[in-house]
Amino acid sequence: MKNPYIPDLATIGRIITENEAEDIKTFELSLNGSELAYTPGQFAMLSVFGVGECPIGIASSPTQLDTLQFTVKKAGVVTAALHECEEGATIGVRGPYGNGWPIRDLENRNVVMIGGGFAFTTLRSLAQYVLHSSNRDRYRDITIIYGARSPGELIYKRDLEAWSQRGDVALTVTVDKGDSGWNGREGYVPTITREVAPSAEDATALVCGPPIMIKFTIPVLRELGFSPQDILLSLEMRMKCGIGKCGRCNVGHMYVCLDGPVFSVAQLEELPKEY
Amino acid sequence: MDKGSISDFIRNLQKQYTVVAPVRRRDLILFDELGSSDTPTLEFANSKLPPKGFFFPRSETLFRFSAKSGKMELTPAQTKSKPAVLMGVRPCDARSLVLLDKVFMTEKYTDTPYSRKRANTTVVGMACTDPRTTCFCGSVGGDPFDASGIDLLMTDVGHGYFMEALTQKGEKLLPHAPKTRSPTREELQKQGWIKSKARAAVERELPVEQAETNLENIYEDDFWDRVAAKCLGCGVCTYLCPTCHCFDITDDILDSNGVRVRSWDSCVYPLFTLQASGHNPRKSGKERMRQRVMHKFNYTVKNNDAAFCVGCGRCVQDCPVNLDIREVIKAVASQRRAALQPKEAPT
Repeated sequence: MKNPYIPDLATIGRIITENEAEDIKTFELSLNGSELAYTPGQFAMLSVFGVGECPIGIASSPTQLDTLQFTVKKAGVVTAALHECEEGATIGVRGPYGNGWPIRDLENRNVVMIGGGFAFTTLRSLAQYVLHSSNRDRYRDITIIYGARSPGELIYKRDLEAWSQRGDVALTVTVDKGDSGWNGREGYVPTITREVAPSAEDATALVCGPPIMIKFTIPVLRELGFSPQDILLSLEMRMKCGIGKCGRCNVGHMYVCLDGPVFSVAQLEELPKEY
Repeated sequence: MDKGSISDFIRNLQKQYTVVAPVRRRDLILFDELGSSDTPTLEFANSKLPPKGFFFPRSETLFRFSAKSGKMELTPAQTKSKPAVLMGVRPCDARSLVLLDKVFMTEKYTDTPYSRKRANTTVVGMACTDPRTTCFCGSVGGDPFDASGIDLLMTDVGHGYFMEALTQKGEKLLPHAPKTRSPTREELQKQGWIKSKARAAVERELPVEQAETNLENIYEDDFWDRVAAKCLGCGVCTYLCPTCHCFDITDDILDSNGVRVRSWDSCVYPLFTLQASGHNPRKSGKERMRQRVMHKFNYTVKNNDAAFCVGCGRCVQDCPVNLDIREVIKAVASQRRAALQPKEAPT
């Protein structure tokens, strides 16, 4: 039986610096002989050998057959070491873990994705997935609201550009504060969500962002008529094993690694506020 | 089996098995592998550390990594192939193994370092004839003679041991025991008397079954501030606990070689849940104390159908500030009664 703690080896391909502050990078990985069959919203444990391991959401979509991407913000010891890695370096990957976004339940529904800052990564995976030609007709209206502190902090600019050219997705991009070159919207994500006012009818809202953004976005969605069951969040917790054993990512009796990271607001209302 | 035959029994077993048993190390009783002339210490209340460490060591290499001429190679840690006998396990500790199985050997993910050792090991229990004052196995579904997790149960009846094979694995050990015979009627009577005396000695009245609901009712209560105020956060309760299983995974390196190691960790430490952003969901002693108690008496009941406490009393005995889990469970029950009582109208 395979030891679940032994990662597969992967080679870093292209590295894309995503923001002006240069502390968010997307790493393209190619697995050395193994496969990672994942769905949008799942995560994997990335290893820098000699430094350690940490959980990172998968930023690419399974529809992108030729690439596996992780967008990593430099925050702790392992992510800082990842940022030091160069193209061609070998790292470890194990996973995928977690439940992911409910892509089956979202079929025939209107999908509203609301992202803030760097936490947009697994929503970007979902967006790529639902907008892919092989999947697009299984989902109804698709709305994306994405914001960052400043224009330089918006990530996935090439995707935002591509989506803005499409007629089948309602994209709104906002920044807290623009600069001289910015012609787009200004305003915090919760405020912009109220302005865009996506209909709650047959719709599910998926929200990813900093805690403060989530805190103020949920009441807006509730006002718009979204029920707690139809607002989904993706939680982050410190993790070591990713497989429900090491005992640290629980919120009440639920494990973020096994039962999450995606939870509905209805589920979270039943759990202790320890996240 | 006569007590005098224990050495021969162990020598016979050692031809096929690694034998791990309680031994005296300075003033501590600890589980350790027996050498070819060692005899175990079988007259003891309980070991300082539970035998969980045999399956889930305090520190364990998961794999090695090396970068040879720039190429990374991973080598799984070698696991011993010789089968083992874990002898002298008290029924409370044996029950803890059944509980740990529920975490480490789930349908979806089997923890191979743990499960290999479990599959390869025969557990020889030692019935508890003289429980300590801190023992409360009877309150958490156990018993001084409980058979769960035990393959062969030994009972000390003074001049010898009763040997009862409870599983096929246990039966395989019996032929290694020299000079065994059927017990006499007097010996059976004596065993019965020892059993009832031991059973009478353990605390059975703790309101553990109600704890799951009681805890939910007082989750937000300032009760937790009061309990946590006493706790030093030293973590000794979690290290001595036979069912605590939280761990950390870290890397150690020397030149271009290294190991990935898993080690025991503890939910009472502030760094346990500290995130890279600086956010900590269990930021104070209150949340951490509550987590420990909730995990044992509520979350595991929901997830694993059993409270993760076997009533061994180690955490009670060795807490430096005398925090007593029995008192916490009782207080939770009375706190809940108080919480449910209508508040007196102000006069």
